[in-house]
Amino acid sequence: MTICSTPFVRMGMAQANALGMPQMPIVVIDHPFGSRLRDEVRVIAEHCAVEVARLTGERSNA
Amino acid sequence: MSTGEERSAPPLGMLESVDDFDAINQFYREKGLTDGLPIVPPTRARVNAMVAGAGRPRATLISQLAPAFGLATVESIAINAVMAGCDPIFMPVLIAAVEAVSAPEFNLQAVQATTNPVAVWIIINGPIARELGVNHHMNCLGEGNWANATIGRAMRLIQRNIGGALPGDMDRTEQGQPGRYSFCCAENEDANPWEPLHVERGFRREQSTVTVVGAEGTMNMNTHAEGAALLRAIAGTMVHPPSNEYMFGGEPWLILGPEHASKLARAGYSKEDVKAQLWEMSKMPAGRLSPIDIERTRKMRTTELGVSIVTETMLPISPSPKQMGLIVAGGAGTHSTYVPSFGVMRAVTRAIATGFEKKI
Repeated sequence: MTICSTPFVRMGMAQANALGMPQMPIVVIDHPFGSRLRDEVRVIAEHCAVEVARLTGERSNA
Repeated sequence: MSTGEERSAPPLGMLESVDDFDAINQFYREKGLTDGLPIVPPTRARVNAMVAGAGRPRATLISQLAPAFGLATVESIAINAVMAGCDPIFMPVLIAAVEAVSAPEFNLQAVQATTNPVAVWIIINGPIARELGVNHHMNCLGEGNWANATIGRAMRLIQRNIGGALPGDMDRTEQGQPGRYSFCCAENEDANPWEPLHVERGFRREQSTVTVVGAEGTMNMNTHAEGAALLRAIAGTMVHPPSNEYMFGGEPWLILGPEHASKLARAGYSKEDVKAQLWEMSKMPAGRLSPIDIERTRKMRTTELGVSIVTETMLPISPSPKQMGLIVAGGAGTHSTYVPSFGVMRAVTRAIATGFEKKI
């Protein structure tokens, strides 16, 4: 699993494919990320954690 | 998997013949296998000649290149070298360059996939530079020299076709830069009043080496200044707030023209003195950064600097003067070049293994 902001999703998918893991789940966050304020990052992180848990659960139940 | 193993050829294939130059180029263009310029068709005969120039078995694995981790074998390197127009005798340089960019400290994954315009700048030192005709003199970063142009171009094709760094796909560079077509020169060792780069980095003068740098571009400096005034002019150019160097603690590079280098040496400066003076003179108040970039710099450099970064903090361009790169190159004139680096990588030097081609 990896986390990408929107413009990097294609890169993440391409690299996952190149490494033989085409089904690797990617959690997507909005871009730009690097200039976010601390409170904004906290909101994004909370959403991200939910997504990671959901995708992890899907894979463990698969 | 370890380097030196023999591996099968990558998907990028050779051509059996070259009946239709235009059709072959159209095919490579459509497949995204060129840098936008026409390529020399990699026929079997040309690739075989290029492999012979390496003097190693064609299936020898040199490295796997991020971000796709494609197999950089002697043969796959040779195919790209043919496409770039290289002479077979250039192969040992390319193999050493591939080894160098694969070193962990070069941070190839980031170099290849970043939004930054970083290009791989190849610096060649030692006797091989003269043997191959690599330009170290006038216009050494410009057009017109076969070795400089094709070695630099081959590196970019290797990055694309083996490493998988295709712009808009795994390569996320925002604007790029012209140096991404080709960026290669030798050092003008005869005009260097100090030790050349490869000796400074632990090699013998008679050895041949390749050094790779993650370079953001070039900034010309035209000044008739001497001594401390010359250093101030250079340091003043190095200072620029929206810079990876200051935010991450970088690795700035300088190409001193022979006249500037001579002036500094005559004034009594050693190479270490020049670096130490420039490092001190180029310190920048953190307040020149935007508030959000100061915050980023705090995250990246507080531990390194050991102080709480406030607007009055004088930020050094690199962790210490040792990280500054300095070569002498070019011809007559009052110009030198500042080469800002990607910042989050370190240059790597590797010896060029020569003599193989004479054994086969």
